[in-house]
Amino acid sequence: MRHIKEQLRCGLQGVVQGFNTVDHVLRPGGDDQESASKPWHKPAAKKSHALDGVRQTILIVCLAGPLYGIAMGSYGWIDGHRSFNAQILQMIYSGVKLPLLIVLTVIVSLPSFFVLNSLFGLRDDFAQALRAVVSAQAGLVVILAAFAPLISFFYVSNATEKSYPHAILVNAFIFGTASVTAQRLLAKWYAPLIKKNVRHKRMMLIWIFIYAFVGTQMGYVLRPFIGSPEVAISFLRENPFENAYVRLWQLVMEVTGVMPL
Amino acid sequence: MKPVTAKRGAFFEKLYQLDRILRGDATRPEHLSKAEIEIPVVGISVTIICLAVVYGFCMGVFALVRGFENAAYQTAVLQTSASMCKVPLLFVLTLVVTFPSLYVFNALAGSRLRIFPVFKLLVASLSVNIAVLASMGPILAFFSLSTPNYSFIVLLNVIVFAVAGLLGLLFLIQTLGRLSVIEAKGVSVSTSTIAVDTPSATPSVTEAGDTSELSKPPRPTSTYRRKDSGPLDRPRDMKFNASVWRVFYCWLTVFCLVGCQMGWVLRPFIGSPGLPFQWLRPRHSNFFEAVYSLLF
Repeated sequence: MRHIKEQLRCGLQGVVQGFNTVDHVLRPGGDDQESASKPWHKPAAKKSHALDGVRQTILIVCLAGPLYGIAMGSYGWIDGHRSFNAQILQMIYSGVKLPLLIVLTVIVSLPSFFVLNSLFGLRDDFAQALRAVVSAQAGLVVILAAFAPLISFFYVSNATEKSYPHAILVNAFIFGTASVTAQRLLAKWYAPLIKKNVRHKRMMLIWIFIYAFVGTQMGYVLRPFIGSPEVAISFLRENPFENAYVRLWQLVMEVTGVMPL
Repeated sequence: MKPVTAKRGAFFEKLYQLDRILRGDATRPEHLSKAEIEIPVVGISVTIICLAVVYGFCMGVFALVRGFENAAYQTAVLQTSASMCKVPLLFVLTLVVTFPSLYVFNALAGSRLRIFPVFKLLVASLSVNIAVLASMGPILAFFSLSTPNYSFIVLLNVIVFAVAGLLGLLFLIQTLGRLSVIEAKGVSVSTSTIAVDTPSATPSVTEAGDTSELSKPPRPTSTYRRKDSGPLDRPRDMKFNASVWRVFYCWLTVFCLVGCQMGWVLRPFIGSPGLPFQWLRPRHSNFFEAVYSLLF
């Protein structure tokens, strides 16, 4: 009995620590000023290893990421198009794909970020910059996870004919909000670096550009996240390899009537 | 430095040397006292050729994926291996063709750099160029994988090459300037340059160190002494004279002309999905005529 109690206590401590990490991710720079007034806030070690915090944030992405994915993918079930047993596959797929989207985007964009940092003479701060970038990803995931109940509530309460386009729109809106907020978070993480060397600001903007450029296409390739009720559930679309930007260009051309498709 | 070198494997040692160039350690003015960049030319060349092959592969992903989609396996593999050969060739051949004229222009334009330092300088700039290219390789490979649109990939390649080339050129002009200044100093003050140089720069370091405690540090007088200055910045206490710019513009012209034409000769790099595979397209027109006919 005592053994189980001990284990429970350890588990609880782990959870509390996890939430502390989440809190830390959402409050960049909060440690230094606030740790004195908030004793429960565990201050970070001063001299930390480059990968300190990176491991924790990766854990956050992998644990919290699926939450929004699952909520997002539950559309077909909540809206009554499919049974739970049928829709669960889409929920699992979306739950896996959401962290995958973020992790793959960062992996693809990191080499150029590293080389450009070196070339602009910012190499000595690279560990800190990397931590800022990765923490912002964890922040994005946490923000999205916080929206998970909201999107479920929307699915439950929205009972119109056109509920699928509505679902897409609301998800796009939530993604947009979360991304913009995450970039603000990134700016906060970057603030001490920018204070040190103004050039970090340029590097941050370059990172945001590369990240958005790759992330848009990555999201497009990893469709479907919501799962159209008319299409059979699958991990990727039957024809996943299409270019988001080319598609957008075609749409613009179609709408403006310059180039009929 | 020796014991550290011994610990690393040969592979990491090579990467480390490239890294020294990228982060600007190799081209810090205090490391250029002999008026040449101290890098192992052979080692760096091997590394950048490997990186160019990596980028060639990323370029070939487009042909590979599209070929496998259409079950044209032979074309796919051949085009990818052709790209992997051609990207390094593009750089190597451009350097070989242009090097004699670059050296002669350099001598004529009044620079005092000797032939071997010039060669090292060019290799170092190419290494910056290729390192940036290779670092953007994953992005290109990802887009090549997921984009059936040929024009988009061509455009993306052009942008990546342009960015990499621009950064390589920035590195070239900065290092050329530093070398010329140091060379000129070295001739007038002879061997005592380093001894004179170091104390004059030391006070500015301590000054920067003291003031960094303040909330807003003032602009440092000697940037290159600060650890965060990069290989693309002009050290504040160095003024590049007209001959540096003259040499640079001559080089830029020769390099761009030959580089563009070399790229034209070595086509196809990506492989248009509509055309059968060829190692080289038949000799036809030239780059400038093609651009001209596109425009007018």
